[in-house]
Amino acid sequence: MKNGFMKTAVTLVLLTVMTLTVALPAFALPINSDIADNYTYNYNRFPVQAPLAYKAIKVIGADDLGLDRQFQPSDIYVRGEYLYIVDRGGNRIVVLDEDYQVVSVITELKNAPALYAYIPGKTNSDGSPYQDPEMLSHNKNTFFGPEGIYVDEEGLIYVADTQNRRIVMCDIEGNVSGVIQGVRVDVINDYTFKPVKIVVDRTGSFLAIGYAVNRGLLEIDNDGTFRSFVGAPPVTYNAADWFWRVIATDEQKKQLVKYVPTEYSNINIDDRGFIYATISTISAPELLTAIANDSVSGSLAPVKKLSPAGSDVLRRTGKFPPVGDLIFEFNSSPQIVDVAVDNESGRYTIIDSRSGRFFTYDPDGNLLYMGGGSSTDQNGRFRTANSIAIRGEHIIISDVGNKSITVYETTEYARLINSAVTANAAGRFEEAAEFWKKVTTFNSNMYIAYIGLGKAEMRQAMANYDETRFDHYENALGYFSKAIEKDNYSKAYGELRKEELSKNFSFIFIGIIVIIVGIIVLYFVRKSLKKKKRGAK
Amino acid sequence: MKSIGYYAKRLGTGTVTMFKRLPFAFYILAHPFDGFYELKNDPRRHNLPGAVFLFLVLALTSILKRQLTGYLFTDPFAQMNLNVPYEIAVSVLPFILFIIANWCFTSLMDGDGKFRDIFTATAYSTIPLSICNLLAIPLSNFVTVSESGVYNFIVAFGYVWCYGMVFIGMLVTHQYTVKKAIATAILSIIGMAVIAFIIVLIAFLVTQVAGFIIQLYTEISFRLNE
Repeated sequence: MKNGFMKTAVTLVLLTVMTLTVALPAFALPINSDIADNYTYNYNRFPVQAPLAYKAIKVIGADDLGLDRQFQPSDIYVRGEYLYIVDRGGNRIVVLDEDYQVVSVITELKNAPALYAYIPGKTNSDGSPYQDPEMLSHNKNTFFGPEGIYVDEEGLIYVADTQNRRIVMCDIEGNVSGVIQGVRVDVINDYTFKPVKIVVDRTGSFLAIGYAVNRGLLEIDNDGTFRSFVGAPPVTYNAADWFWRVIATDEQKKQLVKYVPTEYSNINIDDRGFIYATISTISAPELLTAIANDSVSGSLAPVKKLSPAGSDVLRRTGKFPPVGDLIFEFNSSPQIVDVAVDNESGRYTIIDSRSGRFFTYDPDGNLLYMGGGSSTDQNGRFRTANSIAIRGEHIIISDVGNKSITVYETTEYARLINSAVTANAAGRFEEAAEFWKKVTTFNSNMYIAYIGLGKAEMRQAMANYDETRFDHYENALGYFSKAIEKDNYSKAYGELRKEELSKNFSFIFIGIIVIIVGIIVLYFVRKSLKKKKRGAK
Repeated sequence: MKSIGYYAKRLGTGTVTMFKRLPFAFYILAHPFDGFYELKNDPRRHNLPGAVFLFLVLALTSILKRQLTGYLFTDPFAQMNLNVPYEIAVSVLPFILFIIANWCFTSLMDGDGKFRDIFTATAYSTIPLSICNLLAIPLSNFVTVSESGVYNFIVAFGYVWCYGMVFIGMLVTHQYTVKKAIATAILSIIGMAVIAFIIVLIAFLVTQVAGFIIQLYTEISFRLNE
């Protein structure tokens, strides 16, 4: 009886302890909606834990904006204090202020000219210009399926009114000041102008991604004449394809996929006039090979920085190319759909709509930090993220799947990195080193911080021509070895070696003379000893 | 039954002879044809323990090179984990495989060398490799990336010299013509691959059989405990 009681008591105590140990963490750690996938890739392209860089501070849905449920954000843009949202589903432009309160909703256009319903170059049987019946039913005073937006410094809004086949210029009241439509692109047969994304460059001409145009960006004068294609993505073509082309029969060739240059998915322009463009259609095997070979350029670059002449000038000097995730399954290749650039520091953030993650890079192409993640019902994660904009320390991302806008704020960790990158871009290297030092206390895996520190030490060593320069070189070597930065390590070591050699030149010189003299003396001594031996015999 | 003292004495005198005969290796480096001929045909030059010793030296220098090579020429994280048996196997095993394969083929192809001769000649041929390993270590700590050509040259030179010595060693030991020596060298390399394959195969089969027996044992012990 007593034994049985003891058994029950012990079991009860054990059960309680077990329940508590299982249940306690749940009490201690409330489910935090801000937790995103936090990692970074180390020098070895291996994902490692990293501190939280972005915190979701606001999620804005149609209800918060007082809009109906047709809300479908397709592109967002930040200019000055305003955030502009293009609503593809509700055919309107929503303008929000700094506190994300609605300032204006543009649904009706005033003074809009008649729609251009013709298809350039296409005529009826009697010779009169052909009118597209679909276009005749459209209303010139509303948007129809707008996909892209750009706002210039004066606050003039440029909307790529895709289904209405025009670019509309208006203010936030909806007063139209100009329309670009009926653009003729004679190179393409039966081409109907359907702008998807637009930017306006510094000369005032438009750069647009045309619907189903894969020869590059359309450069259009401000009077609506097509000038040329810019930044045509080169055709992807590899040795295996070539091999199959050679051995395939004509029938088989027809079935092979045609070599189509990839299409841009979004464009953005920084205040120096460089165009950042993304390509989302790169296949997983191609991208994985390119990452492995570190040869992401040309057609295999998900993000490009186009100079006004149209060539890709993005710096890719990091330990791995700026492509978003480096490790992924073959059937879920990343789709980089948009890029946002911070003008002050030159850092840019790309968003992968497949995984919902966004990655921030410095102007040299080093991965700084990332945020986001994929989920349907969690704040700070996305179903189908499709556009990104940056406003100071805020990152704004629209999600067409969840029909929401998410505002992220950088954490202290990310702000330190941003300050370091900004200071670096402005040439204040000592200041940057201070920030990098703080960054390493947050994340010891942050090899870029060590590179920054090492470079600062190098600079100090070269600037101060006194005894401390040896210590600075030694410190630089330490930092570079932590960052697995062999080229810089080698440079620092070469300098240190030169300095030490010149410092100790007299000793080394005397040492060499002593050794040579010693060898000669030994030689003669040995010779004379041998002679003596022979003489003794 | 001989006393321990007898064996100790024999070991001592054996070691002394071994070290006395080792410097002949440097004569071989300078005069490979004469040297290898003498090594095989003069009983006073025979030195099987010395050959084993030279292989140990090779393993030692390889390990030293792995651990002490400068930051610029190595993966610093690889140096944190050292597996000594593995490193010995990696540095010495190819030569052992070569010796076995070469012996197999040359005994069928009228080679004059016995297994001992091949073993000794090959071991003496590894000296350049050991020397260049030892030279490369301080050098790697002193040159920068832009001067890496010097370092790479030293390392490559060690291998080329070593393989050249092995080739001349086989030529002289088996009293072959150059053509025949090249043919046996190629055959030996193929033989090495075959031996390596068979070893892997046997290891695989043994693990399979062992796994089967262990499974059988577990199964039966479960049944017996029921």
